[in-house]
Amino acid sequence: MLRISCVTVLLLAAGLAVQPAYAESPKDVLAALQSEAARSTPDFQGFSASRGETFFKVKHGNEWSCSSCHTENPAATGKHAKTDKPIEPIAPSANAERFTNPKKIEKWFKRNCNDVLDRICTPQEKGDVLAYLLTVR
Amino acid sequence: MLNKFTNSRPLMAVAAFLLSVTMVAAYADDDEHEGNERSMGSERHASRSADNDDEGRGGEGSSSAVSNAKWKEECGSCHLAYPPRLLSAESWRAVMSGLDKHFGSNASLDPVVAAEIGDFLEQNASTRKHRSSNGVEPPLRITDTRWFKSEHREVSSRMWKNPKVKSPSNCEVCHTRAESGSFNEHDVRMPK
Ligand code: HEC
Ligand code: HEC
Ligand code: HEC
Repeated sequence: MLRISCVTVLLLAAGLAVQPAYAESPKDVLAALQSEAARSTPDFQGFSASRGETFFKVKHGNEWSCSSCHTENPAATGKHAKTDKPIEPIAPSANAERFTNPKKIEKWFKRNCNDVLDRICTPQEKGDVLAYLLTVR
Repeated sequence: MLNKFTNSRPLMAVAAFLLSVTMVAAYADDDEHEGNERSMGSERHASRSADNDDEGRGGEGSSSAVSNAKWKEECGSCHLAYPPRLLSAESWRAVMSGLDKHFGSNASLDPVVAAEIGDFLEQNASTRKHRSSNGVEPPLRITDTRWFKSEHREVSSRMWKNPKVKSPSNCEVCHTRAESGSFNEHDVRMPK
């Protein structure tokens, strides 16, 4: 009996260690951003895909826009503006792994927003971008 | 109570073993062939890639299969994951302590992951003097080391300016097997 439960505990522990940090769907991620934005933005009016598209494609005072690396067509394979390394498409319709791993999303928003805007993005901006990317077929 | 301990001990041993297996980042030696600084306990390991064709010759360009999953993922997302043996431990420490301002890019990492990658890089780093440069020490770039410049002294400046190369840091443009850690001169294809 005891042995069995020990084995179970070990298997469970191994299973937990193997599991990738919490897979979610892009819709879950959008919903989480929504409640974050509602909490932190006075008079929050919801997300806008067209605002997200503009945000994605224009420069914000620095050398790069989001599309400098992710291209004007988020369903296409991108290319790192400095190193030329290919980047898998960023639109969930073209790449099922996108916007499913909250840790990875946060890590790249932090890095890329700092490169493009010299600051982190607000929940409103992140939600607008994701709303836009979800409209890309 | 006693029963519980006798039962769980072998299981704990198995668990410890499994853990240690996942943690061994196949230690392989520096890719160096001169002097005998390597003679202390750094035998070539079986983990070296099987298709390495210059085994025994041990040139700078030979591939070593040292790897670490987090390093490969985190340091290979914007560019080739540069093999640890191409810089000294001091250089890697300096690179890892400035990831938020990394060659004009923000590459910041969660501290726990950064510590694991830093250990991996330092443990497999080069111990050779000429991984230094003629400028700021320690060099942050492989391409600033005297070693790199000497290996590439025959590459013309016109080649470095070729738009397909763009930057000497883009090893894989010319070294067709750079992704697997091999820089052997036989695998060099200069872009047209
Ligand atoms: C200098 C190049 C570069 C720029 C500019 C850039 N990105 Fe990225 N981005 C990357 C790379 C590289 C990755 C990760 C590689 C991969 O996962 O394929 C990435 C990944 C991401 C991810 C992770 C998505 C996921 O779930 O995998 C998000 C979100 C993202 N970028 C958003 C943005 C936004 C928003 C901007 C503009 C503010 C931007 N990026 C600008 C290079 C860039
Ligand atoms: C967000 C993108 C990004 C990530 C992530 C990243 N780097 Fe870089 N790295 C760059 C850029 C951009 C350069 C400059 C390339 C150039 O000059 O052509 C660079 C250059 C380098 C160089 C110098 C190459 C040379 O010229 O010799 C080293 C070494 C390096 N990176 C190590 C690392 C390590 C180690 C990691 C993982 C902890 C890492 N990088 C992760 C973007 C990144
Ligand atoms: C423009 C093309 C080009 C780029 C980019 C380039 N190399 Fe090289 N590399 C060469 C050539 C050509 C040689 C010389 C081969 C010979 O001596 O015949 C060479 C030689 C070498 C050697 C010695 C090979 C041997 O078998 O002795 C090493 C190691 C090496 N390069 C590493 C690198 C690394 C690491 C990078 C990126 C940081 C890099 N190279 C970028 C073209 C390039």
